[in-house]
Amino acid sequence: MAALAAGSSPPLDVRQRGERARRILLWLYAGLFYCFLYLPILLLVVLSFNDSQTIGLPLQGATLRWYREVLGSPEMMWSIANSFMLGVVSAVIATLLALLMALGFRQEFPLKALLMKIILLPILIPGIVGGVIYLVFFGYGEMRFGVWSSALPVHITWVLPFAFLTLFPRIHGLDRSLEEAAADLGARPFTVFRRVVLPIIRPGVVATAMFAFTLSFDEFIRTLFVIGNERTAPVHLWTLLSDQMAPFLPAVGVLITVISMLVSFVGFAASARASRTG
Amino acid sequence: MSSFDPDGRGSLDRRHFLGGTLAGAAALSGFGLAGPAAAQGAEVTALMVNAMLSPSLKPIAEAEAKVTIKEGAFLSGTDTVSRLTAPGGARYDLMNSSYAFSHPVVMGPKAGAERVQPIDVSLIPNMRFINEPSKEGIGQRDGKVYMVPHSWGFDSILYNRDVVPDDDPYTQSWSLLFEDKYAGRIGWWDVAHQMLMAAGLYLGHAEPEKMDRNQLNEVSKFLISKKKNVRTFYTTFAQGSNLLASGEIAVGYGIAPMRNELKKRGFNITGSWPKEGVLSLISASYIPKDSRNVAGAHALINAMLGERYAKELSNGSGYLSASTFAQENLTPEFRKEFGYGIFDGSVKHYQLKFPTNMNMWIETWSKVKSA
Repeated sequence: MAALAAGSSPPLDVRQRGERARRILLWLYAGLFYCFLYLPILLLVVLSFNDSQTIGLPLQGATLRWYREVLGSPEMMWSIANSFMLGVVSAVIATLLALLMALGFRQEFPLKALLMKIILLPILIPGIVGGVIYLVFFGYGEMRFGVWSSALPVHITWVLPFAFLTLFPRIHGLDRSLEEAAADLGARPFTVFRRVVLPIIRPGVVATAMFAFTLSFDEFIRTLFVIGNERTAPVHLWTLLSDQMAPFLPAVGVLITVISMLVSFVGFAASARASRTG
Repeated sequence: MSSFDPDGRGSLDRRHFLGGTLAGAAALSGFGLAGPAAAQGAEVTALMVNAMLSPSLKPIAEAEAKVTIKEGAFLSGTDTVSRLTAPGGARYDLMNSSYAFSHPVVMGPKAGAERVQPIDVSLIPNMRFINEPSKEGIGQRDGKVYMVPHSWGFDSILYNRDVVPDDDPYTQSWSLLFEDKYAGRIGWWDVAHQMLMAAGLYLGHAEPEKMDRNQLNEVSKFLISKKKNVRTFYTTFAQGSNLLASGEIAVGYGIAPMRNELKKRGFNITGSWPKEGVLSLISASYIPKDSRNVAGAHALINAMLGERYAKELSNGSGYLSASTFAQENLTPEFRKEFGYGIFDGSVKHYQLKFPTNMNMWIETWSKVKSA
């Protein structure tokens, strides 16, 4: 039996070779995966410095002119500022609403399942259909089109289901005995939330806000229908694409990526600091 | 329990952060709402092709009309007329789109059904300088004017002269865009209306906009048979221009502003004058009923037909001005290059009219694309 077992298992060097091949394949797979993920971004950065009238290779020298063009355009800067402010405010409001809803959905109440589906509905509606619906809705409501009057509610509606989906599992999985213990010790409900629940879910709340910001910052098609004469960065980029060669587009892409990354870093740094002090 | 935060620093930070963000956003929104153009006085909100208010043209229009222009994001002629008919009104003081395409919607089926307000021509003295061919773009009913022509655009085939010689007979017709000679180096504009009109003209249809289902089927069969020659489809100015400029395609469907910008940027790319006719359109201005600055809208229409704007329009955007001022001081060479031959008959053109059944056209184009 022992001889049979010894005969069926491969010799040690064969197993080592197999293990090495597996690790090489894994490294290769991971390397290709990260290349696929990050090389386009790296290429965007490289192209943003390319001294060429067309977007693409070959490289024809290094220049900062595309950044100068973008930073020197008041329209572009205003559109980025509008997107940034809209993103921040939408993220804050949507995260707050999602938090309240997620807390509420821990309780049992009639039509809970139906209400959950209604909350998630905006995800299922195609962007262009959503845009038309908002156009008609705000039209009948005779509401003024603009960043704060119409685009903000649209962005909140758009990012809210995502914020809810991100936060709900975190809150649903929270050990309620901690809250009960705090209540037993005399803490009032708001104190329980502020001193027990919030510190635990804070990383999730920050991550949700960052995610909501990114979704809002990038939103194009719904915004286009309700933004009126104002511009967000994606809407402004669209107008440029429709009437210019726009060789500065990679520079715009880099700037927008940097803004998104900075906001994420600030969020995660704030979260980490809060966790440390907590 | 360490989660109890006696001095509340964690939540204080968060409150400050959120509060600061909201306060900052609210403070900045005061500026953000207005944007850079808010510094001047009377504002006219306008929706028109963005190139018509390019950096060299907008200051002229603003100075001549003595208004500040705040332009919306132009998507397409279809989008423009859709906004005109949207519930709650157009929400623009002035709109501008293709006359032939927009006329049925703007004017409505009968008197009294117009979706725009009459234009007071006494406030537009520059109307007397509208050239003869452009008068076709005046939308009027019962003695009232509702649409005023402002400029012309035209679409043709753009080609790279390093690859396609000017004396190649293919440049003399729309064949350049379809036939096998430049297979693999051709780009098609991904728009049903324009592409089916061009193919219809090339296949000999006298009024392609009236093609019935059988005729559209023939056109689609032809296009499907030629699809093998196509390197790529493109949807935006930037995409098409970059494909041509980078040499990825040598031949492509192109609008006048693309031709203008590629030339200005020094690329050896030009447009052909196909014998079947370039596809032309007259852009006309109209004032929606809910316009809040009717006087400003009139002033802007007048300014855009004025001498300074008309003389800069072709250079600034590639479009042809409907004003007689435009060709003053232009050399015959530039007149030809910009396409002013459309007005004297030396360049054949065919107007991009609205198809009798647009749904059928979209269906046909989808068939071509998915084949």
